[in-house]
Amino acid sequence: MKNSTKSLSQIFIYLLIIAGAFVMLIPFAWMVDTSFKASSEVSTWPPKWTTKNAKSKIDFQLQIQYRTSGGLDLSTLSLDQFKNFASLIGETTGANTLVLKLNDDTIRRGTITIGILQDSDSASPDDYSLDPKTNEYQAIIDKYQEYKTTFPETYKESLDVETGSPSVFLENFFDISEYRSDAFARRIVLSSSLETLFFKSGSSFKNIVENSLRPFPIDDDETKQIKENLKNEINDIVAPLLNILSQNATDIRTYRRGSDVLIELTELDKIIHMVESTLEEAKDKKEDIHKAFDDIVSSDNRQLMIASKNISNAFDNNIITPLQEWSNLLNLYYFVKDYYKDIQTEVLSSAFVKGKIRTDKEVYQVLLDKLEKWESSEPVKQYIRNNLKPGNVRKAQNILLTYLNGEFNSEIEEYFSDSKETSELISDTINLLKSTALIIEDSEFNNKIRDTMSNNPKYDEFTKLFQEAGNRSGQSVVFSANINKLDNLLNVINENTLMNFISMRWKQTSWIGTFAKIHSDALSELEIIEKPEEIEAVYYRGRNNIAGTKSFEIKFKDIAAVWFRDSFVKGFAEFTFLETMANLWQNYVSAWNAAPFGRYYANTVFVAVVTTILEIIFASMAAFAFAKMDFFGKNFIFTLFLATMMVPGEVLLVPNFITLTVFGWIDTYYALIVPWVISVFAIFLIRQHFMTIPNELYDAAKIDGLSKWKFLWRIMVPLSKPAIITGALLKFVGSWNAFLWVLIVTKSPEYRTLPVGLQNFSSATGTEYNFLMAAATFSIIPVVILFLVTQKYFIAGISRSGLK
Amino acid sequence: MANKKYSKKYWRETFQAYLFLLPSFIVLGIFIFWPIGFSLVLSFFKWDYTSVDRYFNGLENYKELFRLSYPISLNFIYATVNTIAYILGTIILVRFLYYIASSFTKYYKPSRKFLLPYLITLFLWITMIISKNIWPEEVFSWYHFIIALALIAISGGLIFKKNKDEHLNIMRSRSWTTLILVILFFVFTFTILVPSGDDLVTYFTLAKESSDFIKATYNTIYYVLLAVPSQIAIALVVALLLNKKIKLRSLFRTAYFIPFVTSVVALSLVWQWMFNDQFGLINYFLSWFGIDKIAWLKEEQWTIPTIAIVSVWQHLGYTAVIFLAGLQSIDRSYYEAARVDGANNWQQFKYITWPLLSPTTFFVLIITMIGSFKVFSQIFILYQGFPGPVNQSGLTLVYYVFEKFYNEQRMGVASAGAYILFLIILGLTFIQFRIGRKRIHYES
Repeated sequence: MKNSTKSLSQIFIYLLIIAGAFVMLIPFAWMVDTSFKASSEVSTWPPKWTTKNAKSKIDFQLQIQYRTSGGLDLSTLSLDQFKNFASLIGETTGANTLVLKLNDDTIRRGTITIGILQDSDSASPDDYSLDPKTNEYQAIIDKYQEYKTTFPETYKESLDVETGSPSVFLENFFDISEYRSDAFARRIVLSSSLETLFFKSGSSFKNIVENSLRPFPIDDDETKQIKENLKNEINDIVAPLLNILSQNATDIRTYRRGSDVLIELTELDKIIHMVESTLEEAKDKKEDIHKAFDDIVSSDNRQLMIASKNISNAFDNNIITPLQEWSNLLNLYYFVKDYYKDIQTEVLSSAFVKGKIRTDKEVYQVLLDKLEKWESSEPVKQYIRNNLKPGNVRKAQNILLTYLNGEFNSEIEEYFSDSKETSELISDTINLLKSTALIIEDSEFNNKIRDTMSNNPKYDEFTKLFQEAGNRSGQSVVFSANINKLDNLLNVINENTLMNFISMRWKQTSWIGTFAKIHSDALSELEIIEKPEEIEAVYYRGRNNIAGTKSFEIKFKDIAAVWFRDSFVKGFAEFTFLETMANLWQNYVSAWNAAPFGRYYANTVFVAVVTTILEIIFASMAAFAFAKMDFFGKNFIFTLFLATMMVPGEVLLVPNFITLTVFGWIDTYYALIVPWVISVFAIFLIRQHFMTIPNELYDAAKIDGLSKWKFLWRIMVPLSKPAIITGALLKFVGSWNAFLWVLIVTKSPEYRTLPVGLQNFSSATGTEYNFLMAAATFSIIPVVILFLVTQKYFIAGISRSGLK
Repeated sequence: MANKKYSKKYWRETFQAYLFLLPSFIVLGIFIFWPIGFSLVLSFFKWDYTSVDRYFNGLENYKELFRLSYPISLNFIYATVNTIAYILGTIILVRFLYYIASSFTKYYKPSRKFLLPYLITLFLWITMIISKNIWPEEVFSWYHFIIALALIAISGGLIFKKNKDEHLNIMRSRSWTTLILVILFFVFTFTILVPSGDDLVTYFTLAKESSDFIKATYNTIYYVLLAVPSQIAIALVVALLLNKKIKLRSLFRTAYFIPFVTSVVALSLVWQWMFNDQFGLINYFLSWFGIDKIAWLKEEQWTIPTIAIVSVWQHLGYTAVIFLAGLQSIDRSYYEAARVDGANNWQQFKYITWPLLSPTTFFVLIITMIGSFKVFSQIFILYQGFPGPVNQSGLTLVYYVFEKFYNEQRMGVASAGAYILFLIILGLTFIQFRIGRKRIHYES
């Protein structure tokens, strides 16, 4: 009996201790766990302990994009490059490129497989069309031309689209009907537009009837009577119609929700039927209203004639016309959609395209190859060849930019003292011109700009062109101001020299543009492993940038991308073991690179090591004096020293900061080290240990002629290793973790230590806890390991502090 | 070694010793002794760091710390008198309880002479409570004031006149019970019996919204009251468990100790994530018990408790290790003797462990209190460089000094605030030493 209670209580003790240890360690476990997670996994509820980063195959979500200004991804640009972005946009994505936005965590490496499928259930490849101009297409176009003028007001202007070929027409038509935020085939837009229509048309018609037939004071009784009758008559006639309208307004709301953002064709059919039948009903009622007018109103009553005309018009404008317009629009959409489905008779030869994301080394090789075909001057190419390495291949554009800017500035420096301002002026001028070309989308004028600029124009030719661009873009004031500034330069140099500069810069920006394209393609093109023959290449854009959207661009051979808008796309990435490892540790790499953690680490180690060494030296000296020497004021000084342990360092923050300012030590290593090299606790600890060393040893040493100094270092210190190691460890850890003091006395990253660096990183990173936890982990790892190895000294030191 | 006093050799050794101590003198002199004085001087000057000139302005900085930005409805002296009256009154009432209890015993009959003063105190107490409930005049009232003074006079007289009697002996021998009774009575008084609230706690609750420094003091004290007892209690339990004969003891000790050696910045970041109201682990664990998500880091009322949880967790291992060392220094033979006498676990703890551990407990109390008064880094990290989410709910004394000094560069006010913190800590140490010397059982 007694034994069983004893073992029960033993189990209870173990349970308590394990539960306690669990509570103590769970934050660490959670920290390490979070540090491996992908960004999308951080914010999940309930929290999960697993991460997909450890998997060798990851599925990802894709979303088909409509129009993009892609071809080159703007996300790869630095701020400096962004200023010149006009020069970078050469061509927009061709009509043959299908853009799939990656709606998931960034993929950095591995083999990508993308499936272009018929629908979500089957694995059969999607179908397409070869753009034939068949009779069906002609029928659609005829219908479009017929209805063109009678679309609802909102869409009338934008629906004026090119009809050159089926794919072009469809691309533009779907853009307006399905893609834009006010696209009418979206459920929400369609149902709310129609609801407003149904709801408003009836009530506004009723108001107009009411207003038109309001009895005036001058009216005689007979007219009043007629008006009253007429009003009742009309209300009786339209009452069923108004009922239908309000019924419709209620019914249409049910289409707000559905599995897809766009309305389905079966639903659309019902809606069209609803609109059309209401339209029929309305037309009938119009007849009735006319009849009622004819019956009641005699043609000589001008007032009532006008009123009846008003009412009739109102009926047309508020009810019949809008219904007709919507009916046309929806019918056309229905036909187009139907046609779009029917015409796709070809089928992709296989559904899946598979390719590998290039490593930096591969990108480097490809870029070197492509450099040969790049149209620019040989010195530029040579410079890039010399300076490009697999390690900096992602920053190749910066290399080129720096080089070209340097070249340009050195040319200018020959003439101008403020070369920076001048070069900026010329760059601005060219950017203005290029932006204009982009904005006004007039190919004729674009060609004119290109031709003029490439044929070494005279200065006045250039200014004329520039002025014209200014007028066309509506920014003539800015452009004129720029011209004036350029004219000022003529005080220093002549027209030809200035024009040379402008042409040179023009050429340079073109090079930057073409190089950016080459670079982006080299970086983002997948090394195809297998693909259907219809596909030419696949690009993975945006991978150079940590933040920002990523997308896959699938370039087809002579097949318009619009035919694949109706496909179901899905993808997955596969990783080799090494790639999986790289994925797993990616957060650590990203966090490390996001802030100067290398510098922080070096600082921390340096400061902690130096502080510790100095502390041990000085503490041993002081401890020796207190332990083995007899001198004036010994007890008083020792008590004074011990009393300082009661003074909280935080209290002395202000005066110490001022002292350091006077010394000029703010933002130096001195400020981090010197105030902390004396630790009274270490002096006390070592003194206690020195006291245990017998005095006989000291006397013997004295007889052997050893000086006090040598005795201390040769005999006392080696004999007191445990106490000294304890003191050193406590100081090292304290120095490693110091925060408030470092925060106050450092201003630049060069002298910050890990805790302050981490705090800085956290305020910059915000709530991306996977990166934060990775940074926290690698900033505490050395200390934790040190502790685990040497914990007996720690425990000894701490225990010692409790026993007086 | 043993030189003759004041001989030539002695002075030479003194010179040598001072050479050995030279580095310590220099660094301690520049970074501890000089600033203590300089800080005091600075606290009497008006000095905005950006402007070059500083000038003496006496106690202005200290006055500014306590200046209320708008007046509050409670008078400070009145509140102080009331508080003293409540405390002394409750002590006498507890004594009266012991008096009644002991009069029922057989052998410890109390002396009759105490009955009258106790009854008078009780009468005054009841009168005070009733009148305060009938005329709840918070602001000031002479009538209440005089009753409170009378209460102080009679109960103070009773307490400071060192009487000896059976019931007082019983009371002193049960110091914990007495303490708990007094606290319970006191809390009961100012929460339920006097609902209008006219004591110092109410005063500071009102005043803290009107002065940042009072708010900082209030928050710090609240934090200390929350963190110190829980840290000591949990650490003691952990130490007692670790002191049992268990396997893998050092492994468990490591688990408890690790947080202490890791950077407070990293740990606070981890806790920021643990306390996240949407996806945090804490709220997930709470959801197992059907508790709704708590906005730990966003609500005023949770600010100080959150900080307390983080620091208790971090310093638990340290305190437990000190306790463990204290426990292991207790001679085993006491326990063997007690076991022979048939003492159970609780009795062993009560009559051996607790008294013999008291020097350690006392030391732990001092250092945890001092450490808790200096709380700063956790707040700075948890609230991303702000003193709490709203309404400066996490402003503590060190944070106040930091804010005045670092953000506003008002060196004079910052020094004054720092000096008050210094005085509080010194005072605490002093009080604890005084009480400690009396109460603590030192092993001879």
